This record gives sequence, structure tokens and C-alpha cells, in this order.
Amino acid sequence: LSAPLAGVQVVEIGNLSAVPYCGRILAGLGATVVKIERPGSGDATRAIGSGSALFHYFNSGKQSVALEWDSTQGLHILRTLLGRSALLLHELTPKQAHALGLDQSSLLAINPRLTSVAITGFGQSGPNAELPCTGFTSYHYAGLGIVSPMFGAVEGDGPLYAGGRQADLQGGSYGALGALASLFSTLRSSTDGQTVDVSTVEATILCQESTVPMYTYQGVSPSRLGRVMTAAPAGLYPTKTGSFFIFCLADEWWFGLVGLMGHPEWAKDEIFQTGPGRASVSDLLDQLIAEWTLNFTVEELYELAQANHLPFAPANTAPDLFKLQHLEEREFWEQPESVTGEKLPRMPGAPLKMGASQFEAHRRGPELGEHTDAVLAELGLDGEAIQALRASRVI
Amino acid sequence: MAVGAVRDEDLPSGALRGVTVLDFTWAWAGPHCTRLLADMGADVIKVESASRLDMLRRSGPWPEGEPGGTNRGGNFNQVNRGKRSISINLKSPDGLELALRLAAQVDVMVSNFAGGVMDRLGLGFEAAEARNPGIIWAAVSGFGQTGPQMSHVTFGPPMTMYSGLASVTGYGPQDAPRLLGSTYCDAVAGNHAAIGIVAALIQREVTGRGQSIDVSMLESTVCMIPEMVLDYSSLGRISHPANGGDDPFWFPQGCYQCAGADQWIALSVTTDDLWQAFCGVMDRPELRRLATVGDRRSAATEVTAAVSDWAKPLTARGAAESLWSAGIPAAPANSAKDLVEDEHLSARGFWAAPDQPDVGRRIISGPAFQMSESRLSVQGPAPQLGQHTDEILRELLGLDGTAVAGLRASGALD
Repeated sequence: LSAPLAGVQVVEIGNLSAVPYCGRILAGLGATVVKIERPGSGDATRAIGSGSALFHYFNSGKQSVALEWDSTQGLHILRTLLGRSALLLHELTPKQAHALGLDQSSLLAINPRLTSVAITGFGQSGPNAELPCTGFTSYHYAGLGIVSPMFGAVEGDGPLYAGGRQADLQGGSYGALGALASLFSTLRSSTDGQTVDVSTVEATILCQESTVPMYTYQGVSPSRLGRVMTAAPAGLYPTKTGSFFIFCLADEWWFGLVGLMGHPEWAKDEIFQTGPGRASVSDLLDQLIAEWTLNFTVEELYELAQANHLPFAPANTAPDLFKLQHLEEREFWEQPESVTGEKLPRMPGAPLKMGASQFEAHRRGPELGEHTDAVLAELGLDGEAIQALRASRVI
Repeated sequence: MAVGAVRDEDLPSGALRGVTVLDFTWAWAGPHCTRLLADMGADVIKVESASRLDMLRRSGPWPEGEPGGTNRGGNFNQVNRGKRSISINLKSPDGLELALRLAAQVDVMVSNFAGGVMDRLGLGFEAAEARNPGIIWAAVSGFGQTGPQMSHVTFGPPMTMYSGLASVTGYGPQDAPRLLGSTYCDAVAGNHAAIGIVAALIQREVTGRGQSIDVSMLESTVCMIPEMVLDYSSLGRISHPANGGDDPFWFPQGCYQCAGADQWIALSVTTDDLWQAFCGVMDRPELRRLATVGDRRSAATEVTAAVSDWAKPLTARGAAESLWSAGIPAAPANSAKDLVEDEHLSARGFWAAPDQPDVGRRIISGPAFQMSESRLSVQGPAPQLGQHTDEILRELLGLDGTAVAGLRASGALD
């Protein structure tokens, strides 16, 4: 079977991680993604320390055209390319898009079937639409910092930033979802192209299940500070080999835990019956649990917990993940081959599996400008024209 | 039509209008996926059971902090808005048969049990496909539908630990792994399941065939932290939490405390030119000499002290406005109250407040993104348990009142 997006041509203008993650997903689903990059430097992840492996991750399976795309000649080429494409992915604000003639009405004049997916911090409307932002500032604007960490913050601990670039990747995944939804509606009802407007701030609000309802239902702005625990035990406990995470959000997990600890009678003690009751004596509980967990390795505790259907977990790091037979058997890791045929570092593969097609994540990212000539030739430029563009440094 | 529900012609057309989803999910990962589908116009039928209630129906936040009932929890109502509810006892043979008959009439089935559970219930992909060759059968689970850990149990916080996300989240390299203030991994898995479902809908237009979708919380979350994986596989380095918001490209980037209770300004100086502008904003011309990222990193203590001193007397909003005027990426670290009162989000129409029975109109988050033609919108309030049982059985299976009463008497409905 062919891939869901076989034959769908996508043009990507975006740096770092938000738009590139969106493009990575579409490429994984079989689209032809042409990434437009600055001649000379290209995407910022090309310059990152780990041998540009991060570039290969975000840009797996894409083509690269090195083009001064916002110059007059560059825009002409870009427009020609958009005339033959189904999707444009970009990170321009409304003013920037308008100035370049890449706003919705100009794009529909070029290609009435074209959908543009804009992924920016504040989205394409509203008073903040033009304000400067990064994934870091979007994350904090969205309130995920002020509520993090879930446990253990003390006075003076600032809003906590998550590892990676979560606001960008949340935005990127919604960009992919919107792109797919638009393609689906085009298939079903021959609708015209449209704009998908993604704000990484809004995307990051959506990944918090309770921040907003806590305020609009209960009148409380949740904070990492002074959080009243309604469930215990909760936290990392020491073992022979590392720390192990136990969180008894459900009472039955606590009952299961004390059974494992050899003290099933604690399940009957009144103060231990409810989450808030246990939270009120959490210091004592933590001490008793730590005395018990210290008898085991992390692996032993995890096996014991799973055998008893208790959702506790080790605090893993990257090497722990590489040891998992489970991920090997599911063929999760990918190790694309570089342009010279060497194995690149192992990297995450498919974020989802589809029964009738393979999510393509085994391919390397393109060399900067690797497909410039081929793509321009497809647009009908001959060798001489391409040479002239190169001489004037448009490509 | 239910009181308060807004459907069909009242609403602009969503991209998934006409798509019916039979939703066996509960808690958050699966319901987050089907919430995205519902906001795009899909008819999402939540299959519930009084004897095995969605745990969010029993948890808060509650209106004015007063617990009680199964239709009043804010987290439940936010993530199940715009869905319909049918109450079926899947443990009874008649109930299972009813679920399979419904599966024959829908486009998509979604579940979020541990791997293998849907198969054991008799609702696995093969069973569904036998009734409906076009069915798109999506499963969100902790570890996926195959592999030695497929049946392992987990949820958001332990998966934040298991995936390694916690190991790169914290207050600097010496800190212990930290959780986010959200059960984050659920949303990640839900997003990717929705992506797989719409991709499969596209493919079905071409092939006429459905397929299974298998999303593992572990794998989708690891896809969100490639830096952690590559630090180890390419450099042999175990990543630790960055200090504040340290970035490989930019400096300074971080949160700085402002005046007032727990007020912070988040800022990213992304270019050397912006540092020069920032020196102007801070009125610290002597720091202009730290012209490059390298200069500023090696004078990190001095830079951090300068930015902290500048921020301390300001409001977070005021600090953000000064930085924005100078073109510097910035944001106040908002709280829930700040978000709900935010002019920008209101102007974008981000919020929704469907008329929720027993609760009234309360603000919840709106659609994940906007589309100019296939508009997204919140389709109505969250359903009450089994609220639409009769109408769904009538619409999808043509069952009349007598037939439904018979099912009820047989224990198939719950």
C-alpha cells in the first residue's frame, strides 16, 4: 500500500523545531517535503553540537532547496513552486506574510487549492500577533511554567521549563493535524485551500488538563508553590540502583503497594484510607516506603509493580531507554545513513504506527541545497538559468 | 437534540463533519484525542458505563470547590465537550454485540486501554474489521499494542519519568528528575493519535480500507525529546536539566523574578543585536561589550545579575512590554487567572464556555488551532452519562423504544 500522503507536495519555510516537526510528520506519512533554507547557513540545527544529528531528526526524508526566498527572484521561484504544491508550512506573522505576498489571498491567487499552515507563538490574529517570541517564551506565556514542577517546589524556585522544545513541538504536531484535516476536506468536498493558524501558546495551554478549569471552576490559579497534595505517597524513592517513582493517585494503588510491602493491615488504618489522609502523614510514609524500596533494584521494583498492575516507574535516562528490549522489538529506534553511507546516531523513530503503511522515519535529512537543481529543473528552469541564479547568489 | 447542545446547521462546517467516532477512551490521553476530533466537527460517541465510570467524572476541580455528581468535574467537562454519551455494559454479551453493531456503522474507533485489553474485550481490530472493513481502529496506550511491555500499566506522571522527559526537566544539572505540572504525556499521545486517524481517513478515501493505528505514550513522548536521545547516542553524554532555560544557541534565556507575588518575566535574547537593544532597555551600556553569545556565557554571573536587577522592581507585564518594544522575545509567566483575563487570547476567540448542565457557562480551552474554511468550534457541553443512548441507538441502528427497552432489561445498557 502507498503512504497516506503519497503524491502530496509540501513546501516548508521554517527554522529549528516547530515547523520542521510539522514537516517531519508529513514526510513520515509520505508527503514530498521541500525545505527552503538560506544558502550558506541553512537551518540552525545544522550547526548544533551533535554532528547535526538533530537536523537529521527534524528533517528526515525532506528535500532541501537553498534559496534566498524572500528576495525578488527568490519569491518568484517560491511562488512557482507553490503553484504546484498542496501545502505551505511557515512561521511568518501576518505582517511578514503580507509584506512577502504570502498572505492567504495572495496565496489563493497563486494556487486556489493551496493550504498554508502558519505556526507562530501568538497565531495569525489578536493584539500580540506581531510580538517577538520563542518556544521558551510561549511555554511560559501559556502558563505551563508557573504550574511546574508538579511536586516539591520551594519558595524561590522559578517557573520550571521542560526539557526539549515542548511548545514548538506541540505547535508542530497541531500544524500537522490541521494540514491533514485540510487535505481531507479538500478530498471530500473539493473545498479551496485555506489557512491553518497554529499558536504555540494555545497549543501549550491544551497540554495542561487542569490549569484553566482549576481557575474557572474552583477559583484557584494553580501554582507549583504551596500545592496542597491530595494524593500520597508521591515522589522518587531511593533503591539499590537509582530512584523509583511511586504515585498513589488512586487508593487501590496504595492498597496494592502496602500489600507488596508486607503490611496489608495499613490499608485498613483510617488515616491511610484516603489520599488527603495519607498526604497529611507523608513524611512518615516516605520514610517507611524508602526503607522498603532500598531493598530492591529499580528493575526489581518495576517488575514487582507491573506484576501487580501498579503504574509505578523508574526515572529513566537515555541509556536506560536504549536498553529496553520492548523498543527494539517494536523497531522504534532509527539509524539513518548519512550521505556518505555512514550510520548516523540512533534517534527516535515513528511517533505513531499505522497498520496499512509505514511511518517513514529511517531517512536522513538532506544536505543543504541538495535538491536545488532538481527542484528548479522540475519548475522548468534550464541549466543556464540555474547557473545565473547561482552566480547572483539567489540559490 | 440535547438541551444546550449545538449541532449541524448552527455551526460552520468542520473538516471532520460527517465522520463518526466510537470512543471507548477514558481519563485523559484518549479523550484528548477525541476532543480534537470533536472540535473539527466529528460526531464523537463516548461509550461509557455506570459500573466503570470515567475516573474524571469523579474528580475535580469542582464548581466553587463543592464536590459531587458525575457531571460537574472541570477536567472532565473540558476534555469531553461536544461529545455524545452512550452507556453500554461491555461485560455483557448483549452489550458487546451492541458495541460491535455500532462499530459497523462508524468510521473510527478509539480506545486507550493497556495493550491487548480491547482484544480481550472482543473489540480488537480484527473483530471490528470483520464487521466494518473501512474501520479506522486507533489505540492509545502506554507502551503500544505489541512488544514485551505492551500490557504494562502507566499514566501521565510515571510516563514522564519513564520516557526520560523528567530527567531533562529540573533546576539545573544537580537536580532530581521533575514532573511537569500537567500529565503531559497524555496530550502528546492524544495529539499523535489524532494525526494518525486523520491520515488514515485520507488513505481510506483512496483505498476504501480502514486500518489500525497504534500510539504508544512512551514512543510519542520520546519523539518530543530528541535532544536527550541524541546527546547520548552521538556524544555519549547523559543529558541533565538545563539551568532555567539555557539554550544551545542563545544567551541569556530564562525567567527572572519581578515585583509582586510569584511574578516572573521569561525572555530569550536570540541575537547579538537584541543583546545591544536589551542593554539599552536595562540602561546598562557597559554590558554592550559582551557582544557575542560566547562573551555573555563566559560572563554569565554578571549577565544574570544585571537582568535580575533590572527585572526586580518591574511588573512582569511591564517588563514584557519593554522587551517587546525593543523586539526582544519575552512573556510574562502567566497563571490561570492571567490566561483567562488575557486580551490577546480573548481577541482570538480562543476560549469556549458551553452551557454545561449542573455547572453553567464556565470558560474552558477552545480548539487547538484555527482553520479559515473548515472552522473548528466547541460543539456543545460535555454529555451526561448515557445522555444520548436512545438517540444514538435510533440513529445508528434504527432501534425503536421497545428494542431499546429490551436491551436495557437484558443488562446490555448500563
